[in-house]
Amino acid sequence: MTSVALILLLTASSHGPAPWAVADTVVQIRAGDRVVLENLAGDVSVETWGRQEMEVRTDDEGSGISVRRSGSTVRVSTDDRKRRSRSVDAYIRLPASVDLQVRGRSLDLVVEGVNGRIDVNNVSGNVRIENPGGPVSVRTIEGEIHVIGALGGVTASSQSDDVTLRDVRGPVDVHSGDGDIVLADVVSTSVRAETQDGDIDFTGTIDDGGDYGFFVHDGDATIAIPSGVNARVEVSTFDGDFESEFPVRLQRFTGGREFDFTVGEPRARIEIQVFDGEIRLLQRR
Amino acid sequence: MNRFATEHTDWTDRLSDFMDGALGSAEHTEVEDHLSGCGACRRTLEELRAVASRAAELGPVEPSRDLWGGIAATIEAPVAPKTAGAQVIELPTAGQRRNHGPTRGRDLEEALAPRRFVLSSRQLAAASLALVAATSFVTWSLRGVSAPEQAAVDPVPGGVIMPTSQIVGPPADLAGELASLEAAVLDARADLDPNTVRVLERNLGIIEQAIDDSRRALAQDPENDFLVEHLHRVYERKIEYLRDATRVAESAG
Repeated sequence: MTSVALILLLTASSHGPAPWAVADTVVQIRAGDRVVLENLAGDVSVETWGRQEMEVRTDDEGSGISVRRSGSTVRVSTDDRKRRSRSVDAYIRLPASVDLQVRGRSLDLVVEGVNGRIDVNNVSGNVRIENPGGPVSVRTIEGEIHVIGALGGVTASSQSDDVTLRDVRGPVDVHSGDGDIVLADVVSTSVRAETQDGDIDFTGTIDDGGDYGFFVHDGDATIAIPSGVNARVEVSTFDGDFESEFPVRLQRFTGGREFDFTVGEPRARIEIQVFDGEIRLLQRR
Repeated sequence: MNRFATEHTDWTDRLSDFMDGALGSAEHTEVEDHLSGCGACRRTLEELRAVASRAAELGPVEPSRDLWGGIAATIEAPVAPKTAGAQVIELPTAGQRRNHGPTRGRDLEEALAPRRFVLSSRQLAAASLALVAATSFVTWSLRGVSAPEQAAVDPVPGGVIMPTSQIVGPPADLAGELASLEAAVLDARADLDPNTVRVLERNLGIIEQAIDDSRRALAQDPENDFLVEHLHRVYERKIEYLRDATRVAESAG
């Protein structure tokens, strides 16, 4: 690996030979670079600034955080040779245009304003991403996910906590194993939300040609859409009630408590499946 | 939700059972008394009766007398359409809908409008049973769950007959990957810290519960292709979850 940490405010580490361990580091970032944060634990905040540099600050001179460059990839990681699960708080500033990849163990992460692709894989801890300009992908085993103001679509999965998306544009694909899903003010032609144990609340537009799917095993689905939508609505439930504030003209009605109806013209498709829970189709005022 | 709305939701929730004759005599009388003084609930009841009546007018599709007997022959046959052609059931328009109902949803409070149509599971079941009884059984068999080579048929509660082999194991297209992932996670368990193991097991338990729910529902309602699709989806989620668990294990190892 070619390590090119251009400016290192190197602090002597008290943990043996860890040549890249730094308390504060500034690295030049070139167009097309990808920044990878890996093997981190603690609170990490990522913000953008107008410089073509990445600055890494930590709360601990002996944090063991290293910065290395390999080609167009700049890696920020902890010195994990001793298998320490050490928690380190870090504050990172970087150019908005970078692609950001995060691999965390126990990480509370906040990312603000990155316009490149964001890809987060975390084990535990909350993830909050605000105003991303590019596509966002977040996976975590345990921890809440919040994505606010995304412009390039969101893919998010938390196995055991809530997932909340607000003011989001672009394709949406979200899942929670044990938590609620809130999709508020979504503008998209492709939405898919699924939870095994929790509720789904959706407010957003239903665009012509769009495909919107909501799937719940144990919980309620509340879908609030504008009154003037044009969509075919496909509803399936095993043990639950259906409520609609829209006029319903059933066009398919099967033995499986499944039915379809059309609101306006069938230009979009809304699929709502709830195994055990209530389905509410509401008119958004 | 205000007190009036809550109380009325209670009443309207009971209209389903009232219409089905499922209430005890005292409660039946209580609902009758309420109906005599509540125009909104009377209208709701009329709407529900109209739905059931119009659904029944579409005409039932007679089920096969021998459900399983024809499966082997029809397993690859084109599935009969489940729709009732161009027939449409008209449900009440916004102006005809009642003026009460539950409200909930943290971010949806402002979106709630005062009028809504409610169709309970009982009405769904009643109306749908009148339309299609068992034709989707073949559909179910064709969707994701492998057909048994031997038609091992066990009776299940309620008198419905279905091959138990089709509801016991995972779908054939997922079984192999599931088995290998489960083995990988089991092998990696020793490398994980106890807290991570506890979280993983808890989450896996939720998925297993969903699978169990779906299987038992299928046993009760084997011709329900929604349940087959649902079960398949939950299994897919289990695979994704096991992949996540494997990833965690690899990062810890």
